[in-house]
Amino acid sequence: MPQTLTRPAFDEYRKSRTVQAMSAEVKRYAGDTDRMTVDDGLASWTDGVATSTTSRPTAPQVGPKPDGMHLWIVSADDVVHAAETCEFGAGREFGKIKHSNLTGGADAFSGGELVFIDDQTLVLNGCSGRYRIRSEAEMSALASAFRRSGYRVWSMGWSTDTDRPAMFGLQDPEWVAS
Amino acid sequence: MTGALTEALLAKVFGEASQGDTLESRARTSPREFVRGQNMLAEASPAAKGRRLSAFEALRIFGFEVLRTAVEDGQAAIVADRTEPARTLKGRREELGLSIASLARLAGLKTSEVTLAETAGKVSPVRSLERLAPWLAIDERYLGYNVAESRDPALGVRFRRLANAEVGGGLSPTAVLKLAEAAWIIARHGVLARELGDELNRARASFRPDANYNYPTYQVGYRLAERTRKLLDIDSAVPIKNLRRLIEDRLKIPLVETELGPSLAGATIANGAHRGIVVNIEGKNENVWIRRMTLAHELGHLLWDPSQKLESLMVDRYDEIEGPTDLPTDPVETRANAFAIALLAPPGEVERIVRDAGDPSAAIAQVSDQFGVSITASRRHIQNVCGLERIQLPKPAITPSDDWKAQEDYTNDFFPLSQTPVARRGRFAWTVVTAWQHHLISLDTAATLLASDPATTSANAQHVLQLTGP
Repeated sequence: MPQTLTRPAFDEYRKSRTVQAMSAEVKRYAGDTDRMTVDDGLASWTDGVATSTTSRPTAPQVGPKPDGMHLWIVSADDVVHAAETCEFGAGREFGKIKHSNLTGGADAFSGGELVFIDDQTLVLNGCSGRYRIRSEAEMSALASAFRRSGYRVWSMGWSTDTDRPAMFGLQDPEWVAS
Repeated sequence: MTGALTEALLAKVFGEASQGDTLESRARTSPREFVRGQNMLAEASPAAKGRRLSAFEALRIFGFEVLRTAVEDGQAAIVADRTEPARTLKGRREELGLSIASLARLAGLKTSEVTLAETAGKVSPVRSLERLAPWLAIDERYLGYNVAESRDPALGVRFRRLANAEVGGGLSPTAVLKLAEAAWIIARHGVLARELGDELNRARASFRPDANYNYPTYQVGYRLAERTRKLLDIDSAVPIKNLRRLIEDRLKIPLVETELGPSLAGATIANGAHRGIVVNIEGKNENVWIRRMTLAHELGHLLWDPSQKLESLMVDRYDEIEGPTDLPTDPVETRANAFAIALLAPPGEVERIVRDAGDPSAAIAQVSDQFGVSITASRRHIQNVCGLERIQLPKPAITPSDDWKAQEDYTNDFFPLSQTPVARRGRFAWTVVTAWQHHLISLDTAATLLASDPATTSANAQHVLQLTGP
């Protein structure tokens, strides 16, 4: 699957940033660092085709826990994602996958959640307790990277009040123009 | 400590330096602060611009599981969905019959900022939301998080009815907003005092409401005044030199002094479980003797009116308390007026003064000066008590001495936090600063409640305590 757009887009994000270990603060569950494989539903991010800058559509409303939500991780050499609710997760203590199932507990740049509106449009956030986004600039760079990988992207954005990524369902997402 | 609350978990949520075996003790000794935005709570960081909360107040508002999620996941949701707090803010403003422009003006925000706050799905700085909340009598702590806790629906209905009342000309938008702010102060004061171990309004339990408004109603008011003095162990011959202190210190009733324009004298307000008195510092109440009558009148309502009479908001106009005509026709107001004058100037003593003076006109001056009531109230009281008619007012007219002004006057002029609204400069300010010093609230919360900034609040804390303390 092509990564012609994806690779440079995320390399740009990785530039001047470092990987981080999984947060020590998170609640741990048995099996939460068991590594998923392609057979378990893990997928690498691949290029989309929606590269034109069409006019801004109406903002979608995403609930706090949308159906079909995926977790995503930017690692040193890949961008991976998988459905949160899946057979692999159901077989672990938590009942769903954690971001650390995408990394096997290894270091990564950042993680978050996304939901597809259609096959070329997605809404994402930067919510991962295990691989936390560290600043508004990092959140913005990630949203841009997903956009430049060939998708129409809505980002939940950043809360300057809490200095944390905004969550699904609590506010409307922001259109990522470039 | 329950099984699930391990030492490791408590240390994770409240920090290694926190101490104690209970959630509350850990929270009170926690150096950690949390920060809230419109819809999320997180552990505080230097870059976060939202409202910083002490661990204790965050625990009280959101409970342990939300704090735990905030620490473990990095953030925790504190609203159910995208419609809050916009729905609560807009609903309350409309309930009070206010325009966006009126609300924006008193809250010091642009109309576009109010509109944004009322639009579901849009995000406002939490500090803007907190500037709106008091003027809508909304408890900002629960805004969006717990709608039922955040506002008293009965108060909203009562405001709406009064604002639209044909009798008395209704209430102006500014008066509604000022009274709503007073309701907010009364409730927040009550909560903070309780957390400091001081249950406000507790002393009111000694006063069993009396449903007797039978004719002659003024005599019922006199009797209740006499009972009040007995319950408070105040001799019938002794003037009440400082009614404010009696209300705030002995009866522990929240008292808010605010600007209500030229026609309103005062009000009693119930906001949820919290009751208090509001007194206008504008208009006739600028005369300390008239202000004392207003305070005593409101006290009469609060101490003795049964709850079905004592609505969530009772507003009194000057012409009902200190008007040119005789007593009002509403027996509830008649009784409160009789209570007020008899509490301040016990009828037995007034009779004695008139008898001793020989000249009723001279007695008016003596009753006013001795008991701190206006000469018009004094004259009417003597007429009623002694059965006299058409007494000439003393000439030259007497006015309150500097002693009376000093004893009863408010502290607004010397309050060191210039941005703090007048209504928040009384005992409420003392309670806020004390709560901060006891680590019940963060400095940021204290500053926000006083509409000031943390540095100024901290620098002037001692001065505020000296000026407003019991």
